Amino acid sequence: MDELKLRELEDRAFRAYLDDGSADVLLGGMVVAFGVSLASDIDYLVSVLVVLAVPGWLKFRERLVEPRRGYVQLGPARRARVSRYKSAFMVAGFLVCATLWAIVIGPEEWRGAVQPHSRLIPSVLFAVTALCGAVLLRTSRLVGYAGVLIVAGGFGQVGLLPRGLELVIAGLVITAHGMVRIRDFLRRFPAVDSTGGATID
Amino acid sequence: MVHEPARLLLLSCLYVVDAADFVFLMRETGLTQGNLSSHLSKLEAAGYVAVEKSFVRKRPRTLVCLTAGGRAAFAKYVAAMQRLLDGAAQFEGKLETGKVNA
Repeated sequence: MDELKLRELEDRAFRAYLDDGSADVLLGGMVVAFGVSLASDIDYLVSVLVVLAVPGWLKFRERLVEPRRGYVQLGPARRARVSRYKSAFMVAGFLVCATLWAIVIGPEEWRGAVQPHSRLIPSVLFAVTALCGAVLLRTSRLVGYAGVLIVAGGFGQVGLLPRGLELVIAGLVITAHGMVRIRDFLRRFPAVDSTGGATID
Repeated sequence: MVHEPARLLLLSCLYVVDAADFVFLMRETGLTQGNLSSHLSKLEAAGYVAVEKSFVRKRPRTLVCLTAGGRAAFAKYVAAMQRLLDGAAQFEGKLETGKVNA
């Protein structure tokens, strides 16, 4: 077995560990919340959702994913790579929040500068976040999500959809797809007793 | 010990990660609980893997990792197989050019 095959095996182990669909629902939920906050000017909605959703997502993984898919501690090289991508996600998240601030609650002159492209900017930032995930997980569906976000943003930009609705629709599409993946995951992987039977002792 | 296909697969899985629990190994290798337990017992007896049982949030977890000896044994096996395959490829090449009588 050569180095390449081992790398593929490690890649597969990493993807299998994170590829249950819950991250899709989290991303979709964030996009919906962002869209609702734009549509209704409830600017704190995204912050509230982050506070509630991220611990909920971690709890979901603990309770439902780990007993079914198992637990793995990744090697140092992978951990370093994950931490680089986490930084990229944080930067993307910061940009999304900064954009929200600029569009919704920022000073008037900032609004003026952002507004000509404001319908497209949040979609593009979320699409970039999805693309970061696509590179990290090497999954084509996240590229598809980025496409959905860009298309929805385009519809918003040309005025076919009311403000925020393009993000709500894109978010709901992503969430629905994530839910389908979770359903498939739960069907495919029934919970297993992690003791591994009595024969190890 | 390493040559057996299921154990080779187990060692390959463990070689590329720091540690994995029983469920993860079961899913990755496609082995049944009984088979996996049996192979892990043999690998543990040979000193190739370390098995640690614990409770995480009141749930039992059997964590398995490759020992230094297991890592070395796997690398040695892979190198030996690589030499064998290289030799076989060279021999096949010579057969094709007619330098060796079949």
